[in-house]
Amino acid sequence: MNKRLKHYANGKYFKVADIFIFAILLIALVISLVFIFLPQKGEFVEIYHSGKIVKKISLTEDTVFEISGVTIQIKDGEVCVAKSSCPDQLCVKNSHIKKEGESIICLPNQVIVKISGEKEIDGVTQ
Amino acid sequence: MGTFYDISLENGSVSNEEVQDILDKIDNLFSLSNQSSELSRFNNLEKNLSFTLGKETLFLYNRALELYSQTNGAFNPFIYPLIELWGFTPPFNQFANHVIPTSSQINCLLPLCDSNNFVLVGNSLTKLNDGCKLDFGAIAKGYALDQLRSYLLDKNKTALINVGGNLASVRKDYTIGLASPRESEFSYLLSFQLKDGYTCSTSGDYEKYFTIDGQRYCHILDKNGYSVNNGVMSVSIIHKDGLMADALSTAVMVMGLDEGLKFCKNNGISAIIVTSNNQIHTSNIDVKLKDTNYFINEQKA
Repeated sequence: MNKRLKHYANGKYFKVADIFIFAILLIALVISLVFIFLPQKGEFVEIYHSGKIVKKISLTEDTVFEISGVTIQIKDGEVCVAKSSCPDQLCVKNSHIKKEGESIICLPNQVIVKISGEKEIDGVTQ
Repeated sequence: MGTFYDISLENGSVSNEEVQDILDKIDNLFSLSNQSSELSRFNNLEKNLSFTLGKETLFLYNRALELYSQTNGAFNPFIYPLIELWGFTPPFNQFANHVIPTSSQINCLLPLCDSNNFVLVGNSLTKLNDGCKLDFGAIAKGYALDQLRSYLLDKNKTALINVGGNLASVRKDYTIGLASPRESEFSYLLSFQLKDGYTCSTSGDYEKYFTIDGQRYCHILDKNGYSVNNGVMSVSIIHKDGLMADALSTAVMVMGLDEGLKFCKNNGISAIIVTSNNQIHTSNIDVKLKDTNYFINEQKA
């Protein structure tokens, strides 16, 4: 190794190797934080009526359907309420949801639309 | 039909109008909240007058009579006078002021609630006593399911049909969850496979009930005319015939755990019985537990 490089590598305040280690650790920290705090993109929509789950459908296919007076639209991986028979229309005014845990509620029609991660069941008997 | 329904199609689409037509037709025949339905008109008739039953009503009446006999009265399509006495007729409000009928009120109506009060000759049905009434509430959803399934098979569709919580698998196997009979942090109790060609029906003490002094009174009545109170919270029957599954889910609730399990095992019927000590008993079906507040009872009858 030439003299200059040797001088910097064995410097008083820090060594080149330290910078690399520091950089790697910093990148690792940032990536970990991103995964911890960034909500996961959901894969399925669960629809509840009167507290019971009645339908579970994939977010990947664009579709429109109605459950108990609430018209639910899935488009480009996002869900929204397109129309509703309720008087306050709060569910329609709600924005699109697509992340796990996000939900839209229509209280008068007793419908809850929720994004979920796993698909365990296709339907519920009650 | 006022009941919730949903068809989850795997391929293409179906006409909502045609589906609604099928359900409306069944409603106009059998709904007891519809005063002009065929069944309501028969129920409002006086004794000794003959009533001509339409083809579908005749079919259901004969099936109902068979099931009444096969289950020894546990499934009872003649019990409506007592359902009215208990106040379980639509529109039902759980929080309205409910009164428990007295034993003399029940004993007065009980004799009207058996098959001996009805005479069928060809397609003419006559009641021998005033106040006798028919109720197909425990089989109408199952029948509707069978009709919708035929319709979808005709149209070459693959789907999971849901009529008021009664399910049918059409051309595909589906994984089904069983709703918890009580409040739970889990979205369902357990799951099982509903194979292509099969239907599933669930009856429970949580569907229509009222509570007085901490005691629950549900809409399913036993052979003595009282709300069932035998420790069974729900019964699910898996069967190829939707009407059968629907009727048997009610019948097995009336029978209770021991008699119900015995009946299912003797007849090769797949069933899931959930009891109030949080136990799950099964006959001829594998289930996968999800709600860890419950236990699967491994005992074989």
